[in-house]
Amino acid sequence: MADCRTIVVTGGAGRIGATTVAMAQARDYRAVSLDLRENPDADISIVLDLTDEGAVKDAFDSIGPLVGLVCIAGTNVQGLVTELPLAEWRRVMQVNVGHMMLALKHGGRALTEGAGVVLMSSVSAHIGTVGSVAYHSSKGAVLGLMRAASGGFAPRGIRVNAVSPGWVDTDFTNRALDALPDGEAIRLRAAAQHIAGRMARPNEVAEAILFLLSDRASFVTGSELVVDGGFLRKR
Amino acid sequence: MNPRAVLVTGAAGGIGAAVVQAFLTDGAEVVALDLVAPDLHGMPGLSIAADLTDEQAVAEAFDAVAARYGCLETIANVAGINHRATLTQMQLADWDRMMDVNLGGMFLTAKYGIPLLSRGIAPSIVNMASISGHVASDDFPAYVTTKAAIESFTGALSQEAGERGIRVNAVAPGWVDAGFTHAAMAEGNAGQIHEAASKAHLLGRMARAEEVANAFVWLASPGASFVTGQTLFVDGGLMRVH
Repeated sequence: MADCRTIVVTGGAGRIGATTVAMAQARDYRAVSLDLRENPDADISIVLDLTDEGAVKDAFDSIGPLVGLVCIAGTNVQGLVTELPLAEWRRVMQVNVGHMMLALKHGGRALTEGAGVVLMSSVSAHIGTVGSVAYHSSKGAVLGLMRAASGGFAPRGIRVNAVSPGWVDTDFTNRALDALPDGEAIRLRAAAQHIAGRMARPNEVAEAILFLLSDRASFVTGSELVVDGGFLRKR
Repeated sequence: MNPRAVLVTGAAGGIGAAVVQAFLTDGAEVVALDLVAPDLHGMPGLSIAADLTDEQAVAEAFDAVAARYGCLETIANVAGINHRATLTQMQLADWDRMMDVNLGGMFLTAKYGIPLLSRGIAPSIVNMASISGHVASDDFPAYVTTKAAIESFTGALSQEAGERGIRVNAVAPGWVDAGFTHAAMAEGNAGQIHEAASKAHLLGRMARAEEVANAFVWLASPGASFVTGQTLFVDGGLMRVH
């Protein structure tokens, strides 16, 4: 019976991923974390490189039937188009988009009728900032993947959607800001860039993910749910 | 503790009644508003007959809400009408009426409702948009226009209301298996339209009214505390079909 409510969360050891794991468990899901790092609080924590197809396949083969797949894992790199090494560009694409394709490829078969898939995009898919070309491109690609996959999975009653946060108060955000020469100024500006006057809390992103996974969203597929506190509206 | 009061416009219609029911199930008390006072079936709340194009009537409706509850948590703007006419055949009065009801009604509930929402705990407004705001429909240009305008209105209002801590979002359904759609279908070949409408969605069917109502309840819930200025498509993937 427990197997009927199992979900997989990629990037399950990161701040948003771990929050999603914990909140899913509180709602009686069994949550599996797939990440480079261990999440000791997940029901199962598989440590792997999500860009390694063999490892991803083995992981999904070991888990069994799924009612949900949540792809959160992502990375970032700074670099102007004219200076960014191709290898760095490829790594961002492989981690941010490629791993989702692999998860759908090898996890898709395990998804049961009526299951939900949520892919993590970002408001970055809709704007551009100098020096983050790979990140912006990858998040736009996630939306394309989401829309394309929503058709392929629809005959089995499986819904595929995306969540796009604005700034979220996480280590990921802090590291990205620390890497910038004007990071501190951006941090101070970030709050003012949202109608809500602050960054998102990780649980607010997880709430959107869990809503889209649930039966309450039974007619929602191919959609992007933006959780940005009005960031895109405020430009 | 005061009950959590939710005002629903168009509450007597098929989707409106489902929205009322969904908020009741979620533990709210509902102020149900429509041209004819909706039946609350004995549930606690207020039932109000008001024409949303009549500013005085809307103002009085909110006076009644203020007297009963003193504040509001949510306004769910469901009310909307449709009119079949190509642009070259359209009477200006019909066009104006579409704008007045579908868009003007939301303007007036915001105008008179925001002071009451400002006293709520985690207040929000949820507006009924439609995939019609994105996909043209030959026979219903006025409807298409109002539904696109509602998303722009939602974005603009999210800024102004955001200064008072009020979130504003929209729900855009595809075809919904409810009275509004049935009425449009009754004017044509219902069987053919039903089949086409079902094929238009990735999920192979129209939405049930409750599925649209669930989106209203979620967007109004504390779980959506960082969602504002957005449109949530509840369209069974219709927008992704081409």
